[in-house]
Amino acid sequence: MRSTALVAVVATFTALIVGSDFALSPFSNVKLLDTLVFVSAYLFGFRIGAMIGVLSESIWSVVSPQGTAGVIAPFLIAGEVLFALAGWGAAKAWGRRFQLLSPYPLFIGAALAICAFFWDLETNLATALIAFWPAPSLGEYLCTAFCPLTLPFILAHEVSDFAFGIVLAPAFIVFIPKVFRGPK
Amino acid sequence: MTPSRGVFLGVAVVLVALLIMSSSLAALYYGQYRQAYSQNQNYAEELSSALASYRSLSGSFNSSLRDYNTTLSLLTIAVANLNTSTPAYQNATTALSSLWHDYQQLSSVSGRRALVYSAHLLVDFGNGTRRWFNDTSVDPGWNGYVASIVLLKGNVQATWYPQYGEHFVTGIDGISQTTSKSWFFWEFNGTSWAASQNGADELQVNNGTSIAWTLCPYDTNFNPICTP
Repeated sequence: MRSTALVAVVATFTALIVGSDFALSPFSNVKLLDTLVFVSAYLFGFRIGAMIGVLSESIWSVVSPQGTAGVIAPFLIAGEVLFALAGWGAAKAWGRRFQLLSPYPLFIGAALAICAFFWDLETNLATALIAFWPAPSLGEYLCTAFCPLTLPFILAHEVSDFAFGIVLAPAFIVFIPKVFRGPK
Repeated sequence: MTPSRGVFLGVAVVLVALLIMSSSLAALYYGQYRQAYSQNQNYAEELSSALASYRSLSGSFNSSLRDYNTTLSLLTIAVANLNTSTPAYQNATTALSSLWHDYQQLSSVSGRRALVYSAHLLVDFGNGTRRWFNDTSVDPGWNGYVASIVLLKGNVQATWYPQYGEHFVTGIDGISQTTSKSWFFWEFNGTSWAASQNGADELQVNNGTSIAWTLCPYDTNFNPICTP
């Protein structure tokens, strides 16, 4: 991909992600971020997907209306690479076999839900590390990572990622290359 | 009959004497009048200067009060985004309550009532002990968590999850959650209490809002088995 096209793709996706983050901010832990990072990695490769994920999460960590993320930001950003990895892996596995009316959208939804689970797990473990710095006990890690009170947030994240994964991600994967003539 | 020359001179002397006396008195009183006038002018100038100083001080006071309120608001926002185990968070949450109390006192001194909301907070410790904070003043813009830490004088133990923008309360007034009981946050919807799904940070406290914390046992789906 030419550098101008790369900049355009990264900037467009990042703007779309940050804008949608603001639009969806009243809904706790429901974001298009994961879906769009997955889609970008699927369509344009891991490097671009990861760039979009890292850039958009970095911006969101600072401008979020809930306040700046602070020291947990690197963990939030690193977690987005998971979605890029999943998108790139899905593209490698399915390639041109992907069809809109097929089980593939379900697989994408499942992949996004699994990634959301690991993202929540990773960030909750980071929360324990930060909250009980410098030496959290195993009990503190487990208690913070699997705190029952976090369940509504984890469920909202996974269910919304699954829903966006089966509805929006396949549509983006099919229509973005058609609209923009796809990556060369 | 014409008065004699002696009588004429006597009358003239008396008149001149009266003239001199009245002139002297007039001069004396005029002097006193000038002195009093001058003093009055001085007092008026001092008063005017004092009034200007008062107005300036009053303006500064009101401006300081506004800054105080802004600082307090910023502090609450900062506290709501701090790692709860840091000394900064612990010091700030303890200080917030007294700072808020001082602000209200200063506002009343200025003769103006601070624009505040009135809210109600109930803490139910699950052992029959209940603490009510009725018609308590809260600052517009506070969420349920900030209102709780201010009203409970910082005696709220919590873990901050920045990725969810939410505090999970683990203890209030030194009473911690257990393996079978957890702290739940509630909002009164006008007819009954409803357990909050999104937590205290998501709830904006408005005028008349009633919120509650209860230490409750819960079922396998983590639904509380009690109401406030």
